[in-house]
Amino acid sequence: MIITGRWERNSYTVIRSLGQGGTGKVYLVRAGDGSLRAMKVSADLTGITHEHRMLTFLNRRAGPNRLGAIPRVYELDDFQEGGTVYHYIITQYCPGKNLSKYMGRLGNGDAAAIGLQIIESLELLHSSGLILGDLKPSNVLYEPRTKRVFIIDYGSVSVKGQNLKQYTPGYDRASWGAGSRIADEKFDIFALGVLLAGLLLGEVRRPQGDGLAKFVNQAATGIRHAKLRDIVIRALRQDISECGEIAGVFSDIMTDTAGCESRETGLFVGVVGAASVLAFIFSLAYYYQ
Amino acid sequence: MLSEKVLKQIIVITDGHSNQGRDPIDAAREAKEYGITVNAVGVLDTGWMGSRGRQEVEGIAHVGGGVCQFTAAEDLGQTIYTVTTQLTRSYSQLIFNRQLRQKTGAGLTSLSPAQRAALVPLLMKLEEEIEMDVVLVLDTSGSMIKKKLALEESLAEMMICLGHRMGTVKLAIVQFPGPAGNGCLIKPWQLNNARTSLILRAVTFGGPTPTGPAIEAAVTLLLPDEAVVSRRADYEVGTVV
Repeated sequence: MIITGRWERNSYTVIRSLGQGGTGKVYLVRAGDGSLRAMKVSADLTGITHEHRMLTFLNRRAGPNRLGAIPRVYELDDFQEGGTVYHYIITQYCPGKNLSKYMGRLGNGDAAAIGLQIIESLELLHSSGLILGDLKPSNVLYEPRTKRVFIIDYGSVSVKGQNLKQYTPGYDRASWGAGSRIADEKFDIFALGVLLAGLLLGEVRRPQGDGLAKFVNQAATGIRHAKLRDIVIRALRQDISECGEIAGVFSDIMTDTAGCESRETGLFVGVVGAASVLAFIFSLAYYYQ
Repeated sequence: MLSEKVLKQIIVITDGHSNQGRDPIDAAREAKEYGITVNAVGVLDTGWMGSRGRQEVEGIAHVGGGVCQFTAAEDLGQTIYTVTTQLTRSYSQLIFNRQLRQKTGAGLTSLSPAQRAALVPLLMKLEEEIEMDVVLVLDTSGSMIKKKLALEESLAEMMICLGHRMGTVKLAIVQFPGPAGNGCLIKPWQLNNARTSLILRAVTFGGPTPTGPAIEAAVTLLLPDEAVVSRRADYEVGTVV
C-alpha cells in the first residue's frame, strides 16, 4: 500500500505494522528516497497535531545531535480513506522492542543506561516547562545490541501545572495514592522510579490499598545494587525534584559496571598472558636443554 | 456561545444484558435525538462478557453516538475518564469547526497542518473549558456485587480527574434496578463531589437489569424541564410502583 500526503505530496510505501498505541497505529514505511521511517496514523486531529507540535519543538530545542531518546520528526500530513480523513506523523524509524518485554530481565548496567537516556530526555522536556506524563515500558523502545532507547509517545506531553489527560494507573502517582495528576517534574520521575523497579524486579502490579509502602519495601529488599536502589526509592518517595540530581548517578553506575567488566577482562588477559610467557620460557628451556 | 459548551452525556456501565423493560438500544437512539450522547462501558468479569451483553453495549454506544469501551472493574475510573476525554475532544472540534465555517467558510481539515498547529492550543483549552452534565447509569444487579469495591475506588478516582477540569462538571448517578426491583433510583446531581463513592457504599445490589428504563430516567435528568414535563410524569409513575 502506498500513501501520498495531501499537502506535501510525499509518498510512503507501507512495509508492516509496528504496533498500536492509545491514539493510533504505527507502521514501518519506506520514503521516496528509499529511507525507512515510522508513520503514526490517527483520526484524532487535535491529538496528533499536538504530538507533532511537541516533537517539533523538542527537535528544535535539542538540535540534531542531542536528541537522545527523542525520535527525529519529519512531517505531519493527511490522507483520505473511505470518507475519513486520517492524519500521520513521519518520524525516524526507531529500532528495538517494547521495554515491557525486558521487565526483570536486564542487568544493572543496562538498567542504568536506559535510566540515563530517559532522564536526559526528561531533563530536556522539564527545562522547557513540559512534562511527559505517560512514561511506561510500552512507550519506550529498547534495542539490546546498541542499548539505544527511544520514547515513542508524546501525545500526553503537558505544560507544567496542567491537568494530565493521559496516564496509566501502574505508573501514575495518583493511582498509588501519592499525589495529584497536575503535571510536575516529580510525576515523571515517579513513573521512572516504577519503570526502573520493574526493569530490575519484574513487571509491576496495579496498586491496591497501601500499595506504595509495600512497593517501596519490595524495592528496598529486592534491588541489590545500592545506587540503583537509592534512586528508585527516592523517585517513588518523590524526593527527587530535578532530573539533574540523578543523571550523574546513572553515568557512575554505568562506569562502575563497565569498569567491573573490564577489570575482569584485564585479569583474564593477565592470566593468559602470564601462562603463555611461562610456556614460552619452558619451551625455550626445553629447546636449550 | 456558552450554551454550546455544555456537553450532555450518559455513560451506561453494565456487566450483562438487559432483561426488563424497554430495549436499551431504542432508548439510546431516542436520547441521541434529544442531543444527548450515550456511551457504554462493559465491565468484564475476569476478562469475559457474554456475547449478548457485548452486542448490547456496542449497540447502545453506536446509536447513542458515543464511545464504547470494555474494561476490568479496577480500571473503570480510568476508562470513564478516557471516555469523557475523547468526548470533550471531539466536541471541541465540532464547536470549533462550526465557528470556523461561519467565519471562513471552511473547516479544520481544509487548513494546512501548519495552520492547524497554531490552533491546537485553542482547541485543547476549549476541551478543558467545556461544561459537562454527566449521568452515570450504573448496573447494580446481582452480578455487580463482587465489583462493588472496585467500583467505589474507580468512581472516586474519576471524580478527582474530573474535578481538575476548568469547566464545571455536574454528575448524577442513576442506579438500576432501584430498591423496588423495577424502575430506577436517582442520585441527585453531585457538583464536583468527591463523596460519590460514599454514596455508592450505601447502595444495595441485586435484582434484574432494566437498562432501557434507566437510560430513559437519565434522559429526563439531562433535558431542560419544559421538554420533559410529560415524560417525567410518566417516569415517576413508573418508579413509584
